[in-house]
Amino acid sequence: MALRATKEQSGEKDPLSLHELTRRIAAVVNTSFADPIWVVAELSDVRVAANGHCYMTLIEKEPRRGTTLASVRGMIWSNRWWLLRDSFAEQTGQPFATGLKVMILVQVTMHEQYGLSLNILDVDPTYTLGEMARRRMEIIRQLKEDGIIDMNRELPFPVLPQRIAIISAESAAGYGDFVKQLTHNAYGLKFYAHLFPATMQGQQTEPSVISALDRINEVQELFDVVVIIRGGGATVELASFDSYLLASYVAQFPLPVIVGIGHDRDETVLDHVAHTSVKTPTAAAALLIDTLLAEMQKVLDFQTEIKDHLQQKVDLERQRLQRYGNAVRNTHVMLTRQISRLDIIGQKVQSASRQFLANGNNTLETLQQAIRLLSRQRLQREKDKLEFIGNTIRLAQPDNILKRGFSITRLDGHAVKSAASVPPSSTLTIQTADGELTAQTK
Amino acid sequence: MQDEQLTYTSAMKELEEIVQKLQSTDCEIDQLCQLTERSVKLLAFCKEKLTKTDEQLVKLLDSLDN
Repeated sequence: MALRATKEQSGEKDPLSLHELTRRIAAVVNTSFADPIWVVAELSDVRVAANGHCYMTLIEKEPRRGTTLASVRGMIWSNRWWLLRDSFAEQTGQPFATGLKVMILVQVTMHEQYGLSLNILDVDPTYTLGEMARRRMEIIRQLKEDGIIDMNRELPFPVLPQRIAIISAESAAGYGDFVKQLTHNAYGLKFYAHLFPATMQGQQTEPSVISALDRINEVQELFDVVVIIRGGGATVELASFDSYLLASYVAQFPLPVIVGIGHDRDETVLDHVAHTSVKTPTAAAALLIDTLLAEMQKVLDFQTEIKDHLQQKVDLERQRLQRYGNAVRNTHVMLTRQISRLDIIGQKVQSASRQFLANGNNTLETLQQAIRLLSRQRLQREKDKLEFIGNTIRLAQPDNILKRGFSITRLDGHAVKSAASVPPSSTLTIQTADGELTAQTK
Repeated sequence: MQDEQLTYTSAMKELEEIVQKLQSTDCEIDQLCQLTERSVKLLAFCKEKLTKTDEQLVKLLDSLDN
């Protein structure tokens, strides 16, 4: 340098060739940065060339204004790229793509011809995970602070989410699967799906999805829900969905938004603001089908319930009628029995009466006969008695007694009842049956 | 309820009311015929909502692409 200054001072110019300059710079740089060094940078313009090498621009932005503070070319040679790409995607759930902040182990290379570049030897995925999480947290905090984070979630979910506005890339396999699943559901449930195409990856995601939301907003009365879907790739880039602007659009959208952007490991900010978040487009279709199916089930349950109740009512009435019928029949049977019993009783009474009467008549007759007999006997007895008395009286007649040989001795006209009462020498009159005798006592 | 005012939600509500009526003990047998007719109509309406294509809506959505 001292030599050059002397020459310049003397008016001589001794310029270096550009190659010499870059060669010299390369020598300094490559000597100064002989060992690999860890650097934090943002990926930009990441692309894989036909030769399999991955090229990009590594940048650093001013945090507040977003202006670029530094920019250096970076590359990963193909043999290393295949390994890094897969392990990074596996551990972060993200592809190694534009927009990500990464911590990389770089070999600083100053090439005489191509200039400064950073040859990436390794990537620390934990930094990217942490950085993504930090960015998400920051957006979520802002959404909360603005009081909009729960707005979409608080919208009532439609009873019949049949009219569906879809935001997706038209060619995405996820979109095709979603529509096919909805329209060919096994239950014959009817859906009306209409696509509002949008770019679903890279830096165009945010403005493209917002534009689709604007178009839906103009005809919102034709739809019940909005479904934002993507998927189909091996790994998806989610960083573009971690956008405050997009999240605030979704949060404040007047229709419920279902998000199914095809990721398993992590959540995006959209998952926090959407009405419902599912893992995949297929899961979004399943959610809609299940919702309608649940309604169909309710309808069928009502049908069964009403049918059962009607059947029960009819059965109850039938049973009641049967009971009445049975009661009438039973009463009839009872009455018939009673009548039969009464008949029997009547017959018995009649028979008994007859018997009684007959018996009575007989008794009377017997009595009459008895009375007659007794009367006759009594009369006979009385008659016999009278006859006996008569006979006795007749036999007791003095004449009859005299006829039997007896005689009455009288003294002075009086019957002598004792021999002692007759004084000696008394004249006695002796009466016999056929005359009187006079006798003298001695 | 007039049919021109019928929506899926109102039909489901009415079906629920019919079920409640049928469950109650003071549902007269004379009402059953009327309730049956109404519930058949409401059930058909709800099933159609879930499974039958609304051609008018299809045309309207198709027109969004033009």
